[in-house]
Amino acid sequence: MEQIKNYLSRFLKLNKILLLSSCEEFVLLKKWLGDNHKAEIIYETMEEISCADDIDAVIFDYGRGQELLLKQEISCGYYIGRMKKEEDCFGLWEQLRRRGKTIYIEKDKGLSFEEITADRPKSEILFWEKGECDTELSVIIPVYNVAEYLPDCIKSLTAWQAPYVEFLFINDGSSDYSAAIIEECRQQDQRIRLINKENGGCASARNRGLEEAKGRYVGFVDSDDVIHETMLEKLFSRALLGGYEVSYCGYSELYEKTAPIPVKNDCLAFPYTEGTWRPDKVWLLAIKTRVAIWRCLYKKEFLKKENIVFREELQRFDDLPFRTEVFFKAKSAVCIPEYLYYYRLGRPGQDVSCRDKRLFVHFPIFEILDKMTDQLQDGKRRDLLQIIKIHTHGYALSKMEKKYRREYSRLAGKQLDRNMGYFRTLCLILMYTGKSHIGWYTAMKLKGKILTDKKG
Amino acid sequence: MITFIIPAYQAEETLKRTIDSVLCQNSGCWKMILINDGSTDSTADICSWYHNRYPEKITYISQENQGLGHARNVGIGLVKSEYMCFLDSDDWLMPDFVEKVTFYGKNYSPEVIFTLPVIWHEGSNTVRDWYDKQLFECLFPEDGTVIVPEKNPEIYTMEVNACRKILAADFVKKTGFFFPEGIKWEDVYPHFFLLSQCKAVLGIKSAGFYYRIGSTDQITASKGRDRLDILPIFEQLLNYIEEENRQALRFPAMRIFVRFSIWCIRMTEGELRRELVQRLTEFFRRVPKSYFRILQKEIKNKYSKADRRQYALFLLAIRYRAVGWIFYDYFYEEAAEKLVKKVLKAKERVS
Repeated sequence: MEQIKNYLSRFLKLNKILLLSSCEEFVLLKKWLGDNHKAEIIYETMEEISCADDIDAVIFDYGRGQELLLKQEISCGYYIGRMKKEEDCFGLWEQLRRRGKTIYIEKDKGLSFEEITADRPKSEILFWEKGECDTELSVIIPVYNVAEYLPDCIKSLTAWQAPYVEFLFINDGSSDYSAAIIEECRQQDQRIRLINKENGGCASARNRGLEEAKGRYVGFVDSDDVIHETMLEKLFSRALLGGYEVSYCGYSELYEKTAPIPVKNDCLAFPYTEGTWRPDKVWLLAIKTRVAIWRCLYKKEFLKKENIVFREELQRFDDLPFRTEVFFKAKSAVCIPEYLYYYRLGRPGQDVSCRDKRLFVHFPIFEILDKMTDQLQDGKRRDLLQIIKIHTHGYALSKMEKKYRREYSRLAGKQLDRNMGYFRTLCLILMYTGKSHIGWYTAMKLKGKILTDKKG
Repeated sequence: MITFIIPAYQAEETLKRTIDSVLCQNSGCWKMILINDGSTDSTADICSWYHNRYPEKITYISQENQGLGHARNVGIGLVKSEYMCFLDSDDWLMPDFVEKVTFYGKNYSPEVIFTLPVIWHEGSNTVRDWYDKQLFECLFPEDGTVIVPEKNPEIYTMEVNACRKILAADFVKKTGFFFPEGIKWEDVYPHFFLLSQCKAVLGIKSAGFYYRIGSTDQITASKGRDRLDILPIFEQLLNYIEEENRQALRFPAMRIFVRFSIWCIRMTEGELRRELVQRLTEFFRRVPKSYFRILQKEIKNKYSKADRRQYALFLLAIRYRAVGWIFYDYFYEEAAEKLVKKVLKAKERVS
């Protein structure tokens, strides 16, 4: 009730308010409204609502009034109310969004009294104001010569029937018949948009998509992958309830012949499952999660404000700086602990499987990230970046062909020394990742040669 | 009658909501002084628009940027009503604020009135309890409870926020009170000064304002050199207590010193952090020993284990230069805290 009073005290231009409950708190609310608002208050406890004309705002309660609200088709500008944990808040929002301009629902998290702390409020707010256009969510799919996998992808995306989604296919100058497949699907599904552009790489396609996106939230799906049909709905509804800047779920690796294998070393735990607004917790996600930007939804306003885009100057792995920047600058994140995205592996020509000189792209990537963290002026995030460096370089060295290793480890050593020395890095490794990386890091520090022999 | 003093600096996004919340009060017993503190955005336009619309109610002053403390002092000089209340340009009042304050002010005529604000987190849109709600409800169980600060020294440990105090104009004139100028943290010293000067405090727990947090452009979130302003404020407070010899203030003041120091160190980075720690060390050397003793005694009785550990570590580090370096970096501090935790656990196991 505190939340609703807080919301009501922000503006006082309501003339006629309809209350749809008779519980004790609503009697008090009626008195409070009568004392403080110069509005006419109608108070309904009956089965049928008798005076439903010219109402400015409706205030509903747990489990009450909602069906009545939908059945009687009361239309007004403001829908305000509260709901219990088990009630379907998102379903109600889907119904009301067509009628009202503003929806404000307080949803109880169902926490016990002891669990509530300053960082863990007892309820979340679904606060929605009608935007200029009807689109709420934009899904951006860069397409480049994937005609073989495209039909599966489109089918899994469009399985969710919500009208407020748009699917933005950015054709990055494909030479096969990918564009024709999308065009065909567009005839059947109006939500699909196709944008053709000259070939410029995955990053440029995604950036183009960001420019064109109309939705409040954006997501990126790769055109050769498949998603669970509920993924978008779950991510979007979770992000909307509480206004989170990033929402993410787990993913599975998909091979040609075997069943999907869920990726386990990826953080899907508390407090992210409940949603957190503590920035330091969100920063930690940059080292706790895998680089997998396509299983997330991002608030577009946030990306725009922080000016986060994909780096087109990089040849590949442009998702690593994007992921890091997002989690370093976001204030809130929420996670759905289910594996809903299927990431196709074992496809010929994938960057993930490269073992040669292409891995040297990590150096310009970390130069960019170093500059970004310098601007943030924050020691903790600089340390986390060091951990990301350790992770990435360790991974690259273990994969790389032998003949490149010496050169790579020389450059990696130089880059790791940029922000801090050996002792501190060692402490950080012990604190955040466990012992596994100490070996190669120490060896590299001592002499590049030893490392190349040991790793092989 | 109550006068709201609203200093505004680069507040075009939030100022309207603040002024509207005063205009929409269900009691008309108020006046407002808007002070534009040299904003370069449209704050001035917003102020003059409201001033032209309600010329009898709203006074508007525009000045060059001189800081929040100075702007508030200018406001104090212009107050003609019985009571005055400071309001920041990003907070807003509950609709029955003026009505309640006028009612209790008339019946009891106290020198200082405390209200209980509510925290509003901007990003998630949720409201949270004010930091010291428990203590407030303990001290003021009902609206209109009157307390004598001399007999209830706990009142000094309340949050120092200046906006939550409504001051009687006579009282302010009599004590010659003004805010420290030109530096940040201007709320700390006035809190102690006002409470120690006044005879009685009245609390209204059902009245208050919404205090915005979670935004990066707040004073408390800044990262620049103004962190060091905390030191002159501490000095001023320490000198005041020593000169006037106010025994009751020693514990709350010491508590504030430690809490703000820890918070301040945590929020600062790099070279500045080192400087801050060094200067704080110097300051704490000047603090008489009795302060430390009182604090240690009080923490033993009242605080939770985690708090106790944190305080103990801080006091140790700040008194001995050899240990002080752990505060140069958040990382060493965390490691030290873990170490202390382990040692204490081992000690417990042995005993």
